[in-house]
Amino acid sequence: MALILHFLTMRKNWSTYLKAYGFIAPCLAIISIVFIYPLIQTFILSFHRVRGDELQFVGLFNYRFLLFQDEAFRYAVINNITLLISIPILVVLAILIAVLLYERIRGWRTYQIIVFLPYVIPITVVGIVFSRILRWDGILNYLLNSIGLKFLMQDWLGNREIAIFSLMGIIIWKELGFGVVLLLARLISLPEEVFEAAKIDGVSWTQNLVYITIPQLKTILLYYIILMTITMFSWVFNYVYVITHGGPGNSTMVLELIIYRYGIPRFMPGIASAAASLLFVGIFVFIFLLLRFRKGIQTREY
Amino acid sequence: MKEKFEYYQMTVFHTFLIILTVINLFPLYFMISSSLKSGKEYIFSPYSIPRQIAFENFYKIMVEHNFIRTSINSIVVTLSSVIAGLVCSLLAAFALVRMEFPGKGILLNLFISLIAVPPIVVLIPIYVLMAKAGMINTYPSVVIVYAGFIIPFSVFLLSGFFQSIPLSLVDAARLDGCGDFGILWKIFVPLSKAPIVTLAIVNGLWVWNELLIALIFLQRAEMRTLMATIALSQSRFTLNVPFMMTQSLIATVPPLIVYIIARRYLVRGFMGGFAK
Repeated sequence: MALILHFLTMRKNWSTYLKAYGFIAPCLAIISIVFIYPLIQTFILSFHRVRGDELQFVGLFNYRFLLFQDEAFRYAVINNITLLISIPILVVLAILIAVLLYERIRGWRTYQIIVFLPYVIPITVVGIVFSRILRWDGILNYLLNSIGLKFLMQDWLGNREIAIFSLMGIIIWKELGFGVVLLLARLISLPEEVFEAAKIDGVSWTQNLVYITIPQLKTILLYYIILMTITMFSWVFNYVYVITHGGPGNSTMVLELIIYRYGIPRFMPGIASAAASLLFVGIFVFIFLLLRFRKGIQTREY
Repeated sequence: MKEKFEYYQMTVFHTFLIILTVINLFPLYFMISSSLKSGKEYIFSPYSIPRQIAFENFYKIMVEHNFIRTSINSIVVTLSSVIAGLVCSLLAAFALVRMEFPGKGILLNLFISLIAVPPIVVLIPIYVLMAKAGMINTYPSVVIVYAGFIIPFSVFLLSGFFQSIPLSLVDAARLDGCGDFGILWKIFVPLSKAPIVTLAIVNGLWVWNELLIALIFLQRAEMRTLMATIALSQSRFTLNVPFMMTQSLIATVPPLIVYIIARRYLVRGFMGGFAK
């Protein structure tokens, strides 16, 4: 309504408005098909049971089923939250490597290429290679054995207790490069005087890192943390699908795989949609909490 | 000039980076070396350097039906998705930054917040929609979906970068009689080469390596992408590791080449555009 009113009062701008909407139209068309329509549809379907072409309203049954009866779903929630542990590890490693590259440690050009390498390798391939490395008779155990750490030997992907952490290790290995590139880009775009002043004052390398470099990276770090939170909730399907299929048992089950299993092989779109809605809400709750947390820090500072 | 690092710090950092290098390179080495081994040699010495180079795996893959076809599928899908996604994003980002119209703020926020939507949440309704339209197993079905997932992040990065382009350039071009398309094409696109290349790399890698969407929308064997084919054949060939590694190697080479050629732009592309 307001939009129409706006149009009427500013009629002389009609042609410029139309042109602007023309520029946005292709994007909007694709986004309506890929995001807006499906999100509405998912929400509606989550309250229904699908039988052939018929939709049967079942209220909250799908949600109740997932939350109280489905053991795999519970495993998936715990595992997705467990994966968040990788974020602090990623952040620390990314800051360290980005700073070392920025300070042009000897061999930085080579390191820079190597650090980003895992990001380029397809997850499918990563999965196949690491499945081999982490087997009971794989090279990791062979190495542990030969340096006398026999007690650390594990069936890394076959042990229910450990499999999710092995998976996390692989995800960290793959995702680290992107963080480094992001932080490095931010460091390079900072004015050099910021760092020059500190050097003259004679502060140590560690002080410099904690008091000068990291505060400068605050915005981009928050952005990186949000992006990684999203990744751990909604972009780990490929890893799990290729490496463990959710097993052994449900020990590496994640929400995406639940949605996939109910949605495609078992064709129960109602339950799949309910799981999808829960995942979607979960992500936004986490991002909201992150932003709140950040605001809390800022108000304390000023 | 004063040394940047203390001696002991230097040692620690170099040790750290060297360990990282080994961890990052070993899987690559393992893939290449086992792809060159015969099945027999792999069983006896899986991690050594191949004694005899065996091309049997490469030969087998070329004979293995559909492998060339699936590679072509991957190339077509990746190129068209990236181009479609980026063209749409360029147009939208330009309008969102340089034009005035009602609903501008809402649209910008909408586009950016879509970064948080996981693919799996939207895939089933899209699947039903595409099935009704008879578009399953066609290129356009996946291209639309991939382009959709490329748009939010690309609009975000490009609109940030566009904001840093000085208005005076736009005014000068307008005086020379440039229309909006002209300004976008002759000023904004050339100045934004770095982020455009970065987006092409990052999104291209994503599409090339993507599995879920590819598995759902391209189900017929002759329409499958390379990644989907490899993932599906994994269980069939579990015993023949060298063959799997050869497949993997072939799938990794194109993204690797693109990365090596365009890596100069990668860091630069992220430099503008973020909230400072």
